[in-house]
Amino acid sequence: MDSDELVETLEAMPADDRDGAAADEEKVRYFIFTVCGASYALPPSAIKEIASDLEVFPVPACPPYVPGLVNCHGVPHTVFDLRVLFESERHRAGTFLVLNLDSDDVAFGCTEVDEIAEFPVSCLSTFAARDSEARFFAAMIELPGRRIPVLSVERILQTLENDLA
Amino acid sequence: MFHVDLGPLDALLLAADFYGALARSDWRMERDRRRAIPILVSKGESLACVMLEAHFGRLFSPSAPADAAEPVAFLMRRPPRESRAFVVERPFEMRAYPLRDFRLPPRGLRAYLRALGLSAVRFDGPGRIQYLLDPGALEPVPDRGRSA
Repeated sequence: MDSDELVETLEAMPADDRDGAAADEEKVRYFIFTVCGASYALPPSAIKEIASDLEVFPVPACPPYVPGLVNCHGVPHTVFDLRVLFESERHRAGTFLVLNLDSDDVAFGCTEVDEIAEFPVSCLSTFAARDSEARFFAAMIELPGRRIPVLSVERILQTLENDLA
Repeated sequence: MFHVDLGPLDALLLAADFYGALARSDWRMERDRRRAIPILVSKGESLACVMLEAHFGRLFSPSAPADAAEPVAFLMRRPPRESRAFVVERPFEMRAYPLRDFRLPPRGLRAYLRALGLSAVRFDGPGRIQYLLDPGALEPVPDRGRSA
């Protein structure tokens, strides 16, 4: 179908159908946060709690992207510094996203919590490995003038496991 | 347990892991040249020696200075392996903590920390972390030619 045929088809389509198609498009919700100006997304269900002003305690001989442990309600959580993971630069997090995991106690440091936003499924693309940190992403939210990586918690945890092995 | 102030953190050692303690005047230090590790000699017995501060200095970034104290050696039997001495050169005291205060490290770090001789953590108030040591897993740090 070429462009002319597409336009003809759309013109022939009742207006209700076109509106209905847009309204019916499946949407997905993501929790958006920033680390030093870079936005990232996680499914809202992946986050158990947002905590602020936690002290990061030293943990020995870990990869640089694990600056230490935080005490979240008496339970030690491994902190990931995503900026070190993605850009090899240290970031002192003020806010911690405590992840909702059965298998481990983990918190991601972040600069700011933005919003829980809804996106049409059509905005999601599986991430091509064109960026070096692509291995940490499960998908990419493609918006006009903006791309937000959806983090793969599983792959990030796997990286630590591999590095400690 | 023995509570040892190591500057930015505390090390906790279960008193039940040790069969005795020696004051500094009761031992002399020698060096195992083959293994390049310090050896504590007391009353004719030689024990491979873990210098606690050197051990933590290796694991953690350079620590903030803490008060030095008269060294004390804690002695541990580890049958069938060789017995071992743990020398503490920082202030320490005996303290008791409820078991419920202790937490295993997060699962992703647990085996790794255990291999380093750190078996559990305790948060002492909002700004202090304490590591419970597994002395059986602590190895003497080779001194790379330094006189013991």
